[in-house]
Amino acid sequence: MKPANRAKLITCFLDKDSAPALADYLHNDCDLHSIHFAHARGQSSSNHTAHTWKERDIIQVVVSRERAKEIFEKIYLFQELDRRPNGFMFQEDLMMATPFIPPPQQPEDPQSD
Amino acid sequence: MSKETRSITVLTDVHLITCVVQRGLADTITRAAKRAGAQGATVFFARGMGIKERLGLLGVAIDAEKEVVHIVVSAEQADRVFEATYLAGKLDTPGMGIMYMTRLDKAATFVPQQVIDNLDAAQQAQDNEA
Repeated sequence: MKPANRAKLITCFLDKDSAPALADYLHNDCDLHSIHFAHARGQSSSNHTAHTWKERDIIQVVVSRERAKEIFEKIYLFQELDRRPNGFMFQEDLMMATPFIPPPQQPEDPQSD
Repeated sequence: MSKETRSITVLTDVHLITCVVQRGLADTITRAAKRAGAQGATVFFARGMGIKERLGLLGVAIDAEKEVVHIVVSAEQADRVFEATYLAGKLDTPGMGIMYMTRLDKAATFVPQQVIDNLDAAQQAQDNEA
């Protein structure tokens, strides 16, 4: 096992169906691959009715320490959290993380037509 | 053409409480957390595996379907919310679940300008007194 350097985990609780766009952005524009998202339900003080559940997306990104600040800010701005209550995000320290290495692309089989 | 400046409001001294409990218990946990001062919670489903074989008849007594509850709280409230959720979830009973708390580097969300202004004013007043 070859552990990566100390890393950070960034987690965002977002409105329903927001995660795929953010994942695409992080993958394509920030060159990140350790991204995972899931569906959830959430309750918060900003909900109009107390004890009302809302559908949410949770997205988690493992990022190197060096890029953590940059990625945190990019997510914040991409989600426009400075403009409207689009979610909640936080960052925590990871003791150890393994790098995600995408599998090599298989060469296309010329006889597969 | 004007260039808009965007700024990030970051919260510090926040902790994350995570509870892994049997399916159906998340509402009880969340209610207790909010009563203890938490602002909210996020819940998702999961499937658990552990020492369930040791409990109940052939392990069927413990539901493998789990709910994971995430609660973000300020450092001041953390112990109180942790204790309240522990008791509400009856986590001192074997097989009910586990919970843990982690320190967060920072958190961010939308903070209305009025709240930021109020905090700035309070800080200013505190500085003047000192």
